[in-house]
Amino acid sequence: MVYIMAVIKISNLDLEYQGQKVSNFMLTIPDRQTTTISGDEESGKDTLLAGLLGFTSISFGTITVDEVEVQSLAPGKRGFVCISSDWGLFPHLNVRANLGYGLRFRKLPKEERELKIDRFLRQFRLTELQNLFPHMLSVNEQYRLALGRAAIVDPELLILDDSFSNFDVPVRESLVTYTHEIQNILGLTIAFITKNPMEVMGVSTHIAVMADGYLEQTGKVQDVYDSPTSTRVAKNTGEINILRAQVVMGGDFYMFSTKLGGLNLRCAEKLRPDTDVDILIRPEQTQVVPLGQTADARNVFSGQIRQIRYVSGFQFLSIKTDDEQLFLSVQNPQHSFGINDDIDVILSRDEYPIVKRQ
Amino acid sequence: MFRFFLRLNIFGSLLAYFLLILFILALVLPVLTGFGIFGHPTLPGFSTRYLFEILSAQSLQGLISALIYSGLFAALCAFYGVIGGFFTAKYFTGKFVLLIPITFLLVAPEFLSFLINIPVVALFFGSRDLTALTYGGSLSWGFALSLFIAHAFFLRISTAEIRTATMLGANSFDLILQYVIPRARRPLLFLTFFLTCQFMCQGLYTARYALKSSDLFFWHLFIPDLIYKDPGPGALAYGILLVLGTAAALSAITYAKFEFSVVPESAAPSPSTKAHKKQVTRKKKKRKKSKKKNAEIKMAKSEEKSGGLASKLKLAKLSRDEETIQAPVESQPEPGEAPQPPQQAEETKPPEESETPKASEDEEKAP
Repeated sequence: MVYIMAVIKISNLDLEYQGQKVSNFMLTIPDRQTTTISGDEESGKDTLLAGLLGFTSISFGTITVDEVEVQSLAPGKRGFVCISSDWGLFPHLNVRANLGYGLRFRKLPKEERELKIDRFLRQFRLTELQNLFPHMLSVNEQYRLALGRAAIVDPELLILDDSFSNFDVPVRESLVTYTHEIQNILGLTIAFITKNPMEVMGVSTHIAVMADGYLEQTGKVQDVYDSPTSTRVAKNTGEINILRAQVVMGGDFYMFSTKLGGLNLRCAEKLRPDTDVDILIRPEQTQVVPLGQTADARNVFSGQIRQIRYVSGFQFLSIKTDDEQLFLSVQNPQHSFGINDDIDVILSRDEYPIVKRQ
Repeated sequence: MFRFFLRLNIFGSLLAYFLLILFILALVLPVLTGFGIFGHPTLPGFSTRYLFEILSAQSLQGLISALIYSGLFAALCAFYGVIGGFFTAKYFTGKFVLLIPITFLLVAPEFLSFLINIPVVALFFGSRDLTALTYGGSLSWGFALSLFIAHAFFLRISTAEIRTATMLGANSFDLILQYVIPRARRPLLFLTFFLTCQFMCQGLYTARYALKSSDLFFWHLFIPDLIYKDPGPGALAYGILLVLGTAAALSAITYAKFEFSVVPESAAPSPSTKAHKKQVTRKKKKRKKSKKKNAEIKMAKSEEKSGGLASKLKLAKLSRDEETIQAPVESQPEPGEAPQPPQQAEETKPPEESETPKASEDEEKAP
């Protein structure tokens, strides 16, 4: 079954909650897609969430669902349901009662209500467990229940507020995958609110990065990942190497001086000589080759491997460079490297995001 | 209860223990007087025939009436406490802990009333209606204890549950009927039982010392007292109720203790807890030990310079010991470094009951 969902628009939102302010926040959450809202601890995510859900009043701005303003409605009437980090399952109710809890407040005939509960029990594979209490369920079953309970009321927006933060990586991955599957089946509009967006970026279509109560950058996930507009966004959306540089001269290619040597890179923005900039390089946008095997590559610097880590099928090399900085590179190695090997790092692209340093 | 005392500072603890002693004395004193140990001209004693006297139909009828009145009143108080607690929790978030001193303030006059054998409320209002006064006097008990248990109950409820119910469409009225009352069934039962016994004790006790008329529904409980000029059966009834009350109080305290044990902040050792003190002493001991070892190594090294097999052996042993003492220092990841390898399952804290789901329980594959 597919529900009719709506576009959620947040416009010029100003609010304050527990001493944290959010100012001039604007975001469009597309229909039946997944949006990630990320930011560090003090970025204002919780304030935004409280404002969205109606647990605090907003000072200015509007929240519209399918062009209907909802910011002045009570939390239960907005159509936003949030699954918090502890999922908020009711321990005194069994699975069936938990799942159908939201329907108690909808004016549905009893038969229709029971039918809907039965359908969702089947959909979320909880039929066999309907008489058990939440503490008798496994993590996945508990999560299915929490998700089912939220989905049964046909929410306009389902918000997952750091819902997986209590678990280790494999469990988190399995829960994210399951959420994505259910989202595809039911056509839910989902917003992940998280300080660690990397694990949900894969299933998200859009991302919004918050900092200091403002929206720092928003867009499609790939665009934001490839072209972060600030070091903060770059750090928040994945592993990043930040090379401090100074513009030496401009042209088709700009020449930058760094502690690793000179670099020739393109830059969309016009930069004046002597401008201090940060060059943002994702680890996978580099190549690592044994020392001296760089052929005629440009933008090469040398280093020594200090550490090798194996994460989810990738090899992360920590490289110590001439200026004592650690540089990261992710590899699916064609060459086998060991610790203390001398290597050359090639910056394989002509263009990297470059931001002016404040 | 005692765990709660641990959370107070030293003066708070002393005050709390003092009040607790007063409370126990207040409970024990009427029994002693009832049995004639205090303030009775004849020799204290107990005769089994009074046991049969109290089991008379008239006595039982009175006891049942008292039980019904007390039970109804207790249930009302418990209900009121939970609802009051809910709204306090909802609208005074963060100040909810104030309920504890308020509880003590409310209970204190009753302690005094119990202790000096004078129904304070009766004197204060100058009323003659002892039934009303007795239950009126019990109000502070009921109010304070209800709030106390409600406090313990609401510490256990996560905000997430209330928020979830709100988001799913529940208004305040729905929350009370569909969430608070069903969720509070256990504390409500405990509280009602505890308060029933307590009110009966209070009622009988007040009557025992303020009784001047014969129209009270429990008057007959003290008839043998007047007939035989001995407080035996009346005191026995009081004693039975006291035992029941104490048992109920213990159950309530056990329950309250459980409630406190699941409060997140109480899990972390605070400066006043034994766990924290132990940690600090262990750390100090460790530091002392390593200091001592270092000094010994220094000395052995200086001896080694001067030569000697014994000093060399000692040095080797000491350095081995040192290795075992010093924990390996983990390197902190720098900003911009690659993510750490997946964490071990043990690192995720198992949550309490079902409020936070358990990672370790998860054995099945991703759905």
